[in-house]
Amino acid sequence: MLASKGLLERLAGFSIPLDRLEATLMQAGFELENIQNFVPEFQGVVTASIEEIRKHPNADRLSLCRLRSNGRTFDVVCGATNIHEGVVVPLALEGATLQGRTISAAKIRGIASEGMLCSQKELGVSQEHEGIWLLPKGTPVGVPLEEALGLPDVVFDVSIPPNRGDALSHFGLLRELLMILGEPSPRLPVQESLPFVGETPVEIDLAEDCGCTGYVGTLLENLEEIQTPLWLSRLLLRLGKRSVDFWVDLANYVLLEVGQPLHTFDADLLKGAKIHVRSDIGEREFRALDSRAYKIPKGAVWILDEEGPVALAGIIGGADSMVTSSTRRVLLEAARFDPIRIRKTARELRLTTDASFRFERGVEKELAPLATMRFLGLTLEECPGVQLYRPSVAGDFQSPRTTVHIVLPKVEKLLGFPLSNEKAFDMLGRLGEIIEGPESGFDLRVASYRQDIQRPCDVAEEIARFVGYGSFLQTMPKPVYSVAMEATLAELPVVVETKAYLRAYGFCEVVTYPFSSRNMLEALEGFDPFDMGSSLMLENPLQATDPYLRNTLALSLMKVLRTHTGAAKDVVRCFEVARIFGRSKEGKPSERETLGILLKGGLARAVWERAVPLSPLQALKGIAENVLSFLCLSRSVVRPESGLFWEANRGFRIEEAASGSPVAVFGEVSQKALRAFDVKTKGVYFLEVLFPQVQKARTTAYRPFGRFPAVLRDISFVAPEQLAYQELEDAIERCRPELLAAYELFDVYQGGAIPPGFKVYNVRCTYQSMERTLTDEEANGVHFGFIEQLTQKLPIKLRT
Amino acid sequence: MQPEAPERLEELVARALEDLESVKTIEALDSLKTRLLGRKGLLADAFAGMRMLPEDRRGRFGKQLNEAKASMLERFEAKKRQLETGQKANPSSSVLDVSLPGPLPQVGKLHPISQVQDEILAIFMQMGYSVAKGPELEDDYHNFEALNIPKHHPARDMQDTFFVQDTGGFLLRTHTSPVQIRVMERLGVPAQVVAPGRVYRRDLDPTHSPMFHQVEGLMIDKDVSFADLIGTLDFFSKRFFGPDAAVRFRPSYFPFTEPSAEVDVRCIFCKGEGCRVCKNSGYLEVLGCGMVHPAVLEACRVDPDAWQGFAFGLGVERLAMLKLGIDDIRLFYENHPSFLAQF
Ligand SMILES: [Zn+2]
Repeated sequence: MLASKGLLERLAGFSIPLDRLEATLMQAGFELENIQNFVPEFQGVVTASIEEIRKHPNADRLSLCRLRSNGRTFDVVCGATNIHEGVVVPLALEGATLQGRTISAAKIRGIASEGMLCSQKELGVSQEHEGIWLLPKGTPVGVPLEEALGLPDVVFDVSIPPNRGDALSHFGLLRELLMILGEPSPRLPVQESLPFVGETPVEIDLAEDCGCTGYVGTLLENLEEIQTPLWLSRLLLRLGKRSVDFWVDLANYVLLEVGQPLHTFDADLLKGAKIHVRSDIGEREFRALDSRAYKIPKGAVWILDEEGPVALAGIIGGADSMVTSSTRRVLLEAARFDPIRIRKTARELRLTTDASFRFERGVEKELAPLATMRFLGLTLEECPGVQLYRPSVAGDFQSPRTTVHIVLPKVEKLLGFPLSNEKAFDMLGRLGEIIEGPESGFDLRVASYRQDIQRPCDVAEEIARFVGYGSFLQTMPKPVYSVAMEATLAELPVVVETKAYLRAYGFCEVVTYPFSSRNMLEALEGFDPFDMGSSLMLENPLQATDPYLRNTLALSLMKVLRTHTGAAKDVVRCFEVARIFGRSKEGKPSERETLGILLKGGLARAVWERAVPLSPLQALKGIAENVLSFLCLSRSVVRPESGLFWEANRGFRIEEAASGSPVAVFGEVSQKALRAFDVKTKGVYFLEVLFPQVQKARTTAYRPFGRFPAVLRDISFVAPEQLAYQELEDAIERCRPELLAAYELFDVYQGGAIPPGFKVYNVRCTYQSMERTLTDEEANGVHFGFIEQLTQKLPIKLRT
Repeated sequence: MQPEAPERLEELVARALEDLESVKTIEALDSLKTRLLGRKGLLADAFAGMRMLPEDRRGRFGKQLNEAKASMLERFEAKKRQLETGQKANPSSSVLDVSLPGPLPQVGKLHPISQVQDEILAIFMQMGYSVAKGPELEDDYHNFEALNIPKHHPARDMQDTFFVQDTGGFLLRTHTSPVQIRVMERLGVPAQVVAPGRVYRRDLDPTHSPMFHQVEGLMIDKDVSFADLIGTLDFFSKRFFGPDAAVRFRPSYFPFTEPSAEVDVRCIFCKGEGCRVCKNSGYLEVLGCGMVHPAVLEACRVDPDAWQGFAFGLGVERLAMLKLGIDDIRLFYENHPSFLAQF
């Protein structure tokens, strides 16, 4: 909310230094931003009325003006044509300065001029430079112009928490300021009695459960065309409001001053002598006073005359009954509307007005009749001929007072701050009445405008604000050690370990949005490696083209690939650990955490430099196996994976052996998929590993190990090309002699001296006994026996 | 002896060169030469091993061996000259220019958000917090209702929510605060956890992203107080921003905490003088916190008369931007290689 320091001070009746204001609002928790200083760019300018205009004897385009100000007359030569007798204008006297320029008495074409009449631009108040600034009728004559404009002033943006509707006005803000400062509360600037000419001849009819619990309608008659007074139009301008016409400006002012939204109807445009408030009207079109047509949803609260809707309650008035400069009779509305009903309609319309903003946050319940009196009082000041009717009231404006039971030691315990009774009472006395109870503690009967104070913790916050958060004790809590918590929340280390592992192997972590487009989903042709089911879609995506939530990290990483190839990188090694989304067969939304890896241009050299470079597919499988080992996954099998996302025969899936459910996919991304993502490159590999929903705690049991010297024996098998290593390994496991402590495949090759259709597996065996040193003979015996068994089980031969 | 596999050749050469560096006398040099290059030396063994290789690899390996031998001989000669003239090794001699950049292993990078998040978690874990996680797809109850934000509460405006179609009201969580609810529902109290994670709001400009990261904190016990909250976050801020960080607490509003506070640190760009980043206030907002609202405890079936404590939520991007001097949040999600390589 924009607030004017000048208006606050006028309401307070004393001045408040800016730094004090800032510090106090900060202590209250109302953040202050964008402080704007409005200082006059002129000095020595007064208001003066033009008494007489004559032609300049020596110049056609100049005139001689006689002005009156402060009981004196001034003769001034003027070149403007928009002036006429009787208007009030700004007069710069001899010695005045206008934006740094000093005005001196001068002879103009032989005639002495005692000053200068000014345009808005010359005064630095706007860019308007056409003609002299004609001040509104009623502007006091003979006062310094800055005083008439309400300058100097400071305007700042203050953010009011959404639960503090009571502070959304200058009066509310001042009340808060004075409370924190320990000063007595300010009084609402309301005349107690006004000269009414009769009862407002309008009946108010509140329908049952219509969203309005109190309505005040007041008729004003015998109005003339009034110009908004200078102080008001300038104040509204500083507060970011356009000056429209007197009635709208005045209603805006009362809103800004005391916080009650008001609406003014042209009473001559209302049909009948009855106002209805109803909410049982269906959806309908409505032309509002901003001259836009709205489709108003059903359930909205409406103000109607005898023929139909005239205002959308609490939000905006209708075009057909709005006040204009020719309005002679006004019906003023001040009402109490249900915050939730107003909010619902405003949200559906995506329309926030000053009124709806305040109603949503709760306007003080007792305010409407008081604000009406304020409006009438101000009208009387500006327009003495007005005839006021006594307000017609329906519903009630009583607000039940909340009582909070306070036990001081409990408040102290919550705040961790000792409080003396005396001090606490002093503070709480500012929030309402204190009623000492028979039992421990006391009751606080909270002031009606503090609807946010409901429970002891709310009172604790008030005390903390009075004390000032800055002067609080700082203590450290005793840690809570919960064994259950540690056991359940142990998932993180796996992610940390995985990330560290990939970083060591040269991969860069990326962070991507989960949003995806239909085109991207289609480009992947139903690629759904972990059976996430149909894709979830956002109701209100940020970009209409990206409404889907990814079901695989491939969707996001392919975009990263585009960024990297766009940056002319021929090597891309990146990964992300993030969530993927989908919908189970039962239709329930679900999410899983996965690791996605994108690889192009091979692994980092320093790590993988080898005589024979590793293929990216092998590398990815190795990474997958390692990550799966961090996840403590039980035995798994690799199967070919089809689908158009992969190059033919270059996609694979790792399944958990027992359940057959996929735990990882890897392979080479097909040219078709790359083209669909607009990536002009090839040799791109992708791996995605599914993290388990519940991470098993990793416990490793110690196994005794051999301390006697080991004997190494290498075997070189010639096997048919089709014989998968898995088969060899299965056979080794089946025939494994007890003394075989370890074995390792250290080379596989084809060609050269190896006949076509065959390949060679080189396996290094380590023989070791737990009890003694093995002799060569012993080791050889076991070794050759082992080889013989293997060659019987499999169609393989020992290479000689 | 096992023939040396080709893979080990580099290692062999590297070791030999190290040994060569440490040799101090001509005698030692000669004995090393015999061990390496003699008729029964290691290189000879390697040559023998070569014959056992398949033909297609033999040629290449042989060439490598010969090159290695030639270069070693050259270095032995140089070392011998050096020992004979009694000169100490000159670091920039032709033998080994150590001023050349070392062969860096190409390690990767963790994303700056991860790094900052890990740093935040480490500070809290040191204070005894456990780490919890929660779903990113949340229901209205956990994201709003249980946090004392009923339907049609103006506080819902503070967070523009992404809703998921046809799921009966599921949404992308707008904050990590629902993890508070899930932790208390699952594990009860006392509780002391931090919950890192991604959150989503419908917003995009230089300081707002539709997805960003938060770390939520929750501590509930018999008598955890507001003063404890202030002490805890003051400690955190000083650990994170440095011991000289000036920290300021001021009242704020969150529906799920009461009293609520906002924590500012003195602007690290202008040192409190006032600048564009801090909008001339001299301070930067870094996190929101407060005492858990009794309505939230009640929603988790925790008796607010018996238990009390605090919660806080900090924006990881915000802290990362301040710490790393990043002025546009969108850089984090663009994943440009030249950006990622910096951290
Ligand atoms: Zn700054």
